[in-house]
Amino acid sequence: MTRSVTPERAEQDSADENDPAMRDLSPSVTARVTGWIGGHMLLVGLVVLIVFFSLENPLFLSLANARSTLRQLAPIAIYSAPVALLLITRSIDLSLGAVVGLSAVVGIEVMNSAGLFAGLMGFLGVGLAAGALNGWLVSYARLNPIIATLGTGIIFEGLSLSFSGGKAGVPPALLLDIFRYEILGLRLEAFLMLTSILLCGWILHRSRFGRYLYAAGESERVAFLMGVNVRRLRFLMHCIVGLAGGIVAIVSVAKLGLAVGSIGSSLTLAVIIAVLLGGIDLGGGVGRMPGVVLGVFFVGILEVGLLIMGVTEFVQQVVVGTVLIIAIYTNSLRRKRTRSE
Amino acid sequence: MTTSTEIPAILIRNLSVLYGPTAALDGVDLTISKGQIVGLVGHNGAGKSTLINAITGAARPSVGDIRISGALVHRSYSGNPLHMLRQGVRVIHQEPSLANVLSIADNITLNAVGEDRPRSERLSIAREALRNVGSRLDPSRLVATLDFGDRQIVDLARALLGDVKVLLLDEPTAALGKEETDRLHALLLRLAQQGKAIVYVSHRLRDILDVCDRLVVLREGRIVMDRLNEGITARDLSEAVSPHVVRSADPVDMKKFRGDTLLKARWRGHPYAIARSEIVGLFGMAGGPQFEFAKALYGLGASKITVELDGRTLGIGSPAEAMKNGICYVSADRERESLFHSMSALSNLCVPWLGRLSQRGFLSRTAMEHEYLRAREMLNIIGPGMGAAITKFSGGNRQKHVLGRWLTSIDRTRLLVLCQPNQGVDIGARADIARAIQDARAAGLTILVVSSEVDEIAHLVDRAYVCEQTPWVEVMRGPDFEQALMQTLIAGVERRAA
Repeated sequence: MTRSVTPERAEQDSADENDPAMRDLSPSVTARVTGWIGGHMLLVGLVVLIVFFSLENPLFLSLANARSTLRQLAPIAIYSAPVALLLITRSIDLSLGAVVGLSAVVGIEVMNSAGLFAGLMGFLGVGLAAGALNGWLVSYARLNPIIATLGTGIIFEGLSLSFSGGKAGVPPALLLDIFRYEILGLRLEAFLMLTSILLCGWILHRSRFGRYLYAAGESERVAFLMGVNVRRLRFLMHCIVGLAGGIVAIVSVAKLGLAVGSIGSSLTLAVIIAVLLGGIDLGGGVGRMPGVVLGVFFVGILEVGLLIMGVTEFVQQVVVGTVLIIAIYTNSLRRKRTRSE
Repeated sequence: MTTSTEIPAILIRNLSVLYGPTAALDGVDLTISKGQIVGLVGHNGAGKSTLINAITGAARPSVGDIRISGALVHRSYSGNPLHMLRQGVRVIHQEPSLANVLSIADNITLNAVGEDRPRSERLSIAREALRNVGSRLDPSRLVATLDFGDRQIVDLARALLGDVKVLLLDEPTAALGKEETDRLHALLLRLAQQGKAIVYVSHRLRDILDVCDRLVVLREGRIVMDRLNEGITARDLSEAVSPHVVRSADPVDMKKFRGDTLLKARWRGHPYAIARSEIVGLFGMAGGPQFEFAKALYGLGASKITVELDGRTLGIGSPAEAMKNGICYVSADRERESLFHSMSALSNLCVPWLGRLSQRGFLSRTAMEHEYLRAREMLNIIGPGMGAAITKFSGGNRQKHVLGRWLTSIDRTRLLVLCQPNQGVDIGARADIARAIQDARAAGLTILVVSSEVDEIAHLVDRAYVCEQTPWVEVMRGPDFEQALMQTLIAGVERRAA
């Protein structure tokens, strides 16, 4: 975020230069460089990852691969942005994948019987309803969000399997065509991804709703005393995440060409890992959207890169788990350092 | 008292501690010999805590060094409490650091000599440690059953176990009564005779003058006074702590402000009325009924309260409702109920009015900064700047941010309820806050000052209710206002006890 130099800053800066004692005490160049790397660990890691994979396989840097990577990570990205906001309010959703599955099987049924538009509304409606249920349980019934959404996740999964009877729904050709249409070489999912990130970023950093999200996550008590309706805020965030689940379901069905109940099963962890890598704290009140975008790209590129290298899925799991732990550890170190100052 | 050949207990040379661009300590030199009690005074943010932390190794010096009995406090050991113990340094904080669910004996021997001994032996170690501090408490009692003064004694007994060279006390009497304070002071004098060096930090200048041999005043990270305690008065000391400060509010012509009735409320069956532009005190014991009323006004009571505000009858069931009707509130617990610690000073100030500071959904940075600059002007906020985290500000300046939230929006605020406005606030900031409150009143704001501190009430208000009995007793401002308040309070407490 660029900031205009405020008068007091300018004063301070010039005071630092004029005062020899202050100049001697200011951190050295190397300290500044290491400090910057410490503060941009994820960005450095991402660059290292890209360099590594392209040395392993020159095809990695090709345009075709970039496009397929983008397609690969679009659902994660669309979901991660609102989920980051949810985590900032100190809540969480473990039913992310199950919402996508339920929304997919119900939505495709509606679409095949009542037409494209009604079908799209079906996808979104199921997502919204699932999110509202989660939100109600967490905000108004005051259940622990981990337990509540673990429970609803199991329910949604069961519902989608019994609804579809284990059979895969086939999306109409029109839907597939819409998602094959390219503008500037990019498909619809890329634009949805961009929209989700920009919209959530704007909410978080430029609107008052975003300030309230941070406030609620940092201290529910203080936010309440400042007149912020914390319960409604969390309820709304769960609804938004549910709605995003509906959108992710549409994108996933179009990508796969099938609608099955298990379509989102790998999403829950992928999204939460991306968000945590991006510097969002489970304790709420911490994190920024640019970090989340980096986290999403890190997860997506890691997946695709390992795939190209021909690494088995099991080794992939080991790598992803290790990366997650390292990232969370460095985040906590950084936080400790800024706290102690 | 000191011989030049003796190794000083604490030797600090050219110590600076930087937090970002601001220097919390700036070239401090201080030598403390064995057996000396040094009183350390200064504003919030003057560097007292940083100095204590540097001596214990919890704060990292940017320049300079510290020696305890000649041994360097090594930087690689920064913040390691075990190393500090081994050097013979002990700290007593305002809050005793004890485990409530354990017995006194278990607490005293926790992570210390005798930890692995049988229970009977640990009890006798604890009994001995307690006797050293002149206490006859039963060491098998649970700490949870002790009152605050006794907890402090246990903390002290625990701290003095082993070879202690330096004892640091950070505001030890802040929560103690007179008798307990005297007991602590007698003990400190005895410890000094045994050759321990003691550093005593306090806001209570009288305590410092009572017990210390030497007085050190810090201001903006520098030592501005370092003298033996001979012929120094409390006035000299407070002058050194903060020069050019108005000590008490100018007498106010109340009639000039007293307008029509703003607030009518019934509380416990009795009606009370507050006029527009009045500053009214609600005075009582710590945790007394005056705070319940204050909370009820902000919708935090057990049930919805109905009041008449500006001639309109309204019920207040939540802070949001109170704010909508122009009632604003500052909690008595700033750190837990007023501040967002991970946010910037700017965000902290602007949180309640983000709607007004937005344009077509966008938060307007310019409007927020404008708001901040107004608050800074109004309250004389000093610190690292509006973009910095609120935690980088001193206690007094944090309090100014909390007040600034409401004082910048007088057009939307009718009644401001201030609980303990001077909580952890130094003399200089108190004067700034008092001035801002007077200005706000002149601009039409009505203010309730709710407190258990008599000087706070006497300093700020036109008249006060003493809330110790029902109905409340009104005391008007006049000569000996403070005394009248105290007498009414004591009478109330006695009548209730009878």
